[in-house]
Amino acid sequence: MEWHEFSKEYFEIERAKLKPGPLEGVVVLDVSYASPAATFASALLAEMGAEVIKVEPPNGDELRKLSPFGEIYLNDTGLPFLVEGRNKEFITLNLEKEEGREIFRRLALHADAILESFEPGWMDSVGIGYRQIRETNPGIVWVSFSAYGSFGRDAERFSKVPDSNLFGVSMSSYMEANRELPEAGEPYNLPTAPGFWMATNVAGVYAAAGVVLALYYRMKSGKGQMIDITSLDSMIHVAPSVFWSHAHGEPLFVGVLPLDYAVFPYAYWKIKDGYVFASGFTDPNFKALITQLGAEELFEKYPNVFARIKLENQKVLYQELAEKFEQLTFSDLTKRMLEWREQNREGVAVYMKVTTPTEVLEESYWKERGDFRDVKVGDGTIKVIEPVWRLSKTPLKFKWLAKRVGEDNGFVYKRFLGLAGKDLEELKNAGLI
Amino acid sequence: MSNSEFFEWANEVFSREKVFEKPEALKGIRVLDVSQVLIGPETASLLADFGAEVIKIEPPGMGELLRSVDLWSRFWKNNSVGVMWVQRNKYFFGLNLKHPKGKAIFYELVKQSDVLVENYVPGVMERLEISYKHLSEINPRLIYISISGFGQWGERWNWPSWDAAGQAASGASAVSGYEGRIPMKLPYYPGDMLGGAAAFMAVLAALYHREKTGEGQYIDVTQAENLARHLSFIWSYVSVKGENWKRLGNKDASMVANAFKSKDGRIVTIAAISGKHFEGLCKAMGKEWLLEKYPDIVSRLKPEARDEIDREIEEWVGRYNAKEIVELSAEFGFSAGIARNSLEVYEDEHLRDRGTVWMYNDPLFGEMVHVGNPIKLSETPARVKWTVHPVGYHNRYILKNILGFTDEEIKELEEEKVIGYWVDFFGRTPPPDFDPQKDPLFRW
Repeated sequence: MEWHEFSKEYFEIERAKLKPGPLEGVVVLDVSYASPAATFASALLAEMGAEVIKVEPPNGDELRKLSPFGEIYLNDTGLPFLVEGRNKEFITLNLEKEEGREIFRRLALHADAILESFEPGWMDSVGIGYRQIRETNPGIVWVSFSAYGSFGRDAERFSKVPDSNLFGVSMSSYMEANRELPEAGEPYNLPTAPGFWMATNVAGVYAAAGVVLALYYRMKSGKGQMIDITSLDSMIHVAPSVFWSHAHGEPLFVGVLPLDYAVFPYAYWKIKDGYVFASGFTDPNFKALITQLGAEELFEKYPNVFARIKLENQKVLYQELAEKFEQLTFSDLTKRMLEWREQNREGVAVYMKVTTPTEVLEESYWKERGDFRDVKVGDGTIKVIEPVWRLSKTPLKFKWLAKRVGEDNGFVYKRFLGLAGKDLEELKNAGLI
Repeated sequence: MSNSEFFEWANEVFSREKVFEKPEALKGIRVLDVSQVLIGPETASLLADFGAEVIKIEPPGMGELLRSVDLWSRFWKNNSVGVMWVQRNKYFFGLNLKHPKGKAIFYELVKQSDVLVENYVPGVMERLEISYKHLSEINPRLIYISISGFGQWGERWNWPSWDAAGQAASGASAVSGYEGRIPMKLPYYPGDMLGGAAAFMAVLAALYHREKTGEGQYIDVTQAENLARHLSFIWSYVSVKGENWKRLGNKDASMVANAFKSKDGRIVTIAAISGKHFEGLCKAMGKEWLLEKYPDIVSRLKPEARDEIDREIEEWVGRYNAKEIVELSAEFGFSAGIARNSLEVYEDEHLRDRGTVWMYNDPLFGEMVHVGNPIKLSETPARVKWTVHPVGYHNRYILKNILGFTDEEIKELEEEKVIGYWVDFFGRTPPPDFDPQKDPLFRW
């Protein structure tokens, strides 16, 4: 049996939904507001099987109002919140009022983790911060999301500043590195953000990982703790640029698209049917690449990695290869790569088509891996990306999309606080839920 | 109405100075790192940041591939800063896994380990007889994570991959940049670094499960699928619209957010997610009329409204220096950033307080910087102890300390080329001013 058949059996795809998630039994309160990072984090915890209770003010989290071009709203909810509200339970609670805070304190007794994104210090100032909650629930894992963080010399002065994806990508120097060569002209040679929410999403991944780590430590020690998360810290970790400035005392110059700052050839080229990523930067791999393109003679001109990384050489080599690429389709390239492999020749050239989202949704690879699911919502159906990290014994799962504001009030308040019927009516009349 | 007492307390409990007085959450967890380049090494380093004992196994001599690669091929102090970046706190073991004796030593280590991280092309570990199939027999508690471009199974199972292949395949590049231009190959290897973050999360989830049940498991994480997960709602949008996502440069289609040029020529990012943020922005701009014209969030997202709002912000940003805008963001409560360069980040004292720009003394490189772990834990904080070492630097430490080998046995292993050290080649040697022979750790 070949490895791909053998390995597939570990994951028992058909049975995956019947297996337990790794965080089964963990209760998480997500009281974040207008925070894509916290919302992504609690979505991941919910995929891992935690019971995530999203606590919104009675009018709902304004994050529900975001949707590309203000266009698509389902269940009165825009797509970001709809999709990342996955698997959560939705309750309302007014934390602006002391009576609402008292209910929060009671709910917090049942929580293993709490996620919040208020201005640092605000929850503490009204008596429901980490310091107060841990008095009655010493094992609590508390995550604060903000732009500048809860500590560090600028934290207090900038505490009103909300975090955002663009804040994380710009302040970290990530964005500065993402630009075309100076000669491309504006705006193409100016710092550019990725086209998706990289900074807030990766902050969410780190936060979710931090919660699991803290829960693991709690299992051994009985101790809870606080976790402080910013998209800025997260993006600095994703970029190695500070090493350069330490070593050489100057800013790192990396904005050279479509060329590269570390290895070459390692770039995107135009081909007959779109764009392709192609790579062959070590000597054997470079030889494989240029031979497959019918340009063997280039090796003498660029005989080692030092010759190939020089910016002025890259510019010429890029053009020389561009002339070859534009005459080929993606299948021409893969055919040549496979022949090369069948002949057991030295070196590996890697090609990958730059695939658009609509193309991805049609490709059989993703279908076989089960990465997208059709989900009915309202009168229509939308595609939703599944959790993509596969654990053989405790798979992550997609269960449902975000529900409406307060939809689970009845269930959650009964289950944790024993409130129902008239009790809830009273809370509602008092403007608390 | 700031809560100064809270910040005093937070500065105290998260103090960079106190980190080494606190326990490590993953103390006692041993990780075998047989990965190379970025995604696997970063996964193992994240575990090492929190106290796991990570043994990085490299082929003797040239060691890992990334040692040949550096930004602009500069190789500061003979080493690659790319390697430094993702090799934190590890023990470097030069072990020949193709030698029967090397494999026997490896199997002994597996029995005493908790986690294995690898990122070879699927099938390679199987051929080396160190796949999950083989190792779960020896140690059923083992958590084994395989990281690859496209997964251990499925039609692309044996495709080789680099970070940018994952970017290209996942749609991440196709949604980045400008229409009509070549899509952007995003910098600093997000396929690897974002993938490493998720792989770390998956390992922790498996450790948590093992702590409850005693059972290990197998994990399959890929560059392409991980990036696709980061595209989140974009998939749902294109599936409803039936047309492709447009590349919009810096404009965020889902919130009032874009980048603008300041009076002093800097790129300034502005974002307002909630109504309160937008109100703060309008007040800072002295353009409260925008609030009246577009009273609710949805109305502001419509393309014509967005164009008008962006023009108004552009006009305003153009009248101020970037730092003035940032000051106003603190006063009025909206999100404003500057597209800073690496030197500005390096010199940021606030980030040094946070241990994000981690200033420290490295045993080999001396005065150093590192990228501190972004997960700031109050009780069990992450820490950087050291960065990359030459191939085989900790051979003697590992063989004597963990496996009880004698000097004579180690000598024999060296002669039979079961274990080995670095070669005199760029990206491999210690820093020029450092002599390993004077280091008791190396001579152990």
